[in-house]
Amino acid sequence: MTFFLFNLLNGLQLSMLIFLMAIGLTVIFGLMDILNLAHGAFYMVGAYFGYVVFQMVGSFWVALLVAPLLPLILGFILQYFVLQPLIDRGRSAHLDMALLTFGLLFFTIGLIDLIFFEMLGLTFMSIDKPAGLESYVDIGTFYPAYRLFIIAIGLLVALVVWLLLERTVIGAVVRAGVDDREMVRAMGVNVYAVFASVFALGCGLAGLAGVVAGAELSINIDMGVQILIPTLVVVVLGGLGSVKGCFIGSLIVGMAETMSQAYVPVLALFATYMLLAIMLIFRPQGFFGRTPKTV
Amino acid sequence: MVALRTAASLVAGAGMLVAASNVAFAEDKTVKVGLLTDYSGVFAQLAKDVDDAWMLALEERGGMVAGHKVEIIREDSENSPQVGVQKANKLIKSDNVAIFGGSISSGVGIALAGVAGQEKTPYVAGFSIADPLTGKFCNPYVARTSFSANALQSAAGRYWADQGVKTAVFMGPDYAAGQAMLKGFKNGFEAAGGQVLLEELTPFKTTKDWGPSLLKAQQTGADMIYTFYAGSEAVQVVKQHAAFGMQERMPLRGAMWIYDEALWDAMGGVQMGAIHVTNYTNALDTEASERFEKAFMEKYGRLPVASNAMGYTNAVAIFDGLAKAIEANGGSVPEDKALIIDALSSLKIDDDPRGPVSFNDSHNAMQETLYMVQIVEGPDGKPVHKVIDTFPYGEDLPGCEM
Repeated sequence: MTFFLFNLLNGLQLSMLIFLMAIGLTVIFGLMDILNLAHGAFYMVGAYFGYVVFQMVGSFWVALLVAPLLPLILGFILQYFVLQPLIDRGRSAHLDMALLTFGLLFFTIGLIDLIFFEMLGLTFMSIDKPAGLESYVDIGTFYPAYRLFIIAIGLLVALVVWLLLERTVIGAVVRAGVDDREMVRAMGVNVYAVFASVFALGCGLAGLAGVVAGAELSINIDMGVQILIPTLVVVVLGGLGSVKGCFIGSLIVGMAETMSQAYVPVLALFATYMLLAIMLIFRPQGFFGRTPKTV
Repeated sequence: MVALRTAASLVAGAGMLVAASNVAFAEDKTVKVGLLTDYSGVFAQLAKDVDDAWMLALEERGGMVAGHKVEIIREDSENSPQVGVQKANKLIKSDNVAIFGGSISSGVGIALAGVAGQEKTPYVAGFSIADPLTGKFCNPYVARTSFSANALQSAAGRYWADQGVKTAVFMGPDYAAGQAMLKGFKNGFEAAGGQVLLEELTPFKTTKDWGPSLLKAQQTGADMIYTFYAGSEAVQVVKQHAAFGMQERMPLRGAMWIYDEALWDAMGGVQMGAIHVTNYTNALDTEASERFEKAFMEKYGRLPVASNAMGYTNAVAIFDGLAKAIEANGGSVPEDKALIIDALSSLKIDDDPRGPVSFNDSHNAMQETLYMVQIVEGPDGKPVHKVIDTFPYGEDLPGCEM
């Protein structure tokens, strides 16, 4: 029984890590219809910049707060100065966006490889866990304190993002801007700035996930591509643009991976993809996805 | 008449040209050697380590083997068998190399063994430790200077059983290398009276959390976890094993990959006190290892690691084997290139930093002893290796028919 409970915790921990990544992607994709495959790049930038900050000041907490700012700023620049002008010129098909951002992902990987491996000679890095979280707590078995922290931070971010999008004026403006951009503009709202801010926020959250993962996993050149696939699965499962859907999608993917590894290892490799296939057949819009608008 | 004179001078001129080119050829004999390894991808660091060791070995030979200037041609196999085959064909057909080596990935290695046999050009694996490379896929044009998975892991398994470890959990990635390591360890461990209680093979490259596997290992109550992981997976397994408070109750052991020096920074200190098997460490104090360490330190300003030592054996075997074959052939590269592999595998490398290295009938390297090392705090507080025991080397799996 305790074995099951601890696996439940493990599953929750993995779910929250995936959620931190997926929430930005689903909001950007769902609300702005931009398929941002560069999301993995922002995750990497967060982790690598977090490592740099950590090396400079020696504090996990400073790294956690400061490092997401770089992907946040880069995300704003990308949306405001690159993607939005392209959309205005009519280059906003999913394929255009996917190709551009996918290229950007590999450009970022190459650049990071150049700086950290070729120039600094670093291959595998990690951020030290903060005091108090580096050890384990005894709750029936020894359980890593940091995993409980990941669960807490995931739940907190979920709550904040949900409140922001569903219960504030900012959220209302974002949703209104998606539905009728011209009307919102006519009301004196700078829609582009709002879009870029939301985009930046998503990228910042990916960066936050990067720092959090940088302490639990390791920072390496493949991390951005590795996390992208489960993240996309979550977005499909949860439905585009839905915070609730993204949360539940993350839980499903995290639990499926953990439980299959614990109980049916032969399924571990493709459990999530099986879920994905079933979902696409029976409910392609996802659990909480909005049916596509036909204007 | 004029035409005749012109023709005569033309003939004479042509003759002189031929003579001149012959002279130039005699004065400037070069031999091309391919360094085909995984410069990009997960093995990039290992490839760099191998390359550095090759350059040291070449420098020590003044850039020459048996009166021939060595021209190294580098190619990147990108950790992909397809790319490896393509680059090997380029080295053989367009560059005309006499021999090539350096490979790291086992998948690439096995593919290259096929090309070498087919194109009758010698290939010497640098790492590529999969058993079948010098087993099922062995041929007269292939040699290996590292070791086979079974030789190392069965020796380690036997060692731990002899030390009184009765039960173990094996953890490793679920692909060819992980399975080969498991088989090797189990062979040695169970033959010496140990028992593997759980074989936990995790999906390669897609596993994001080792918590479930570590919890399963805990459930068995085994004496230790024996593991094979490399790179970022190794970092994660070691860190999570420590985070679950298992270091005291169920130590995590393995070979050099899991506690590779290149990963120490990323492990952030939890590697302290860990014990693992290796075939080289810079903590060795034999004459040969001290000499290698000093030379490497002088050239690169840092201590060599196991992958440097293996790259070094690879280069030394290739250069000295080539020299031996050229000398035996009266000063030129033999037409039948299998003779190069014959010469190479008859070498006795007594001053190898790993300890004396020789080759068996399937052209695979064997060394006299393996080392059990512990990661301890060095004089300056940084982690270093300490040799705590030495034990005999294991055997290759049978299966080579040449």
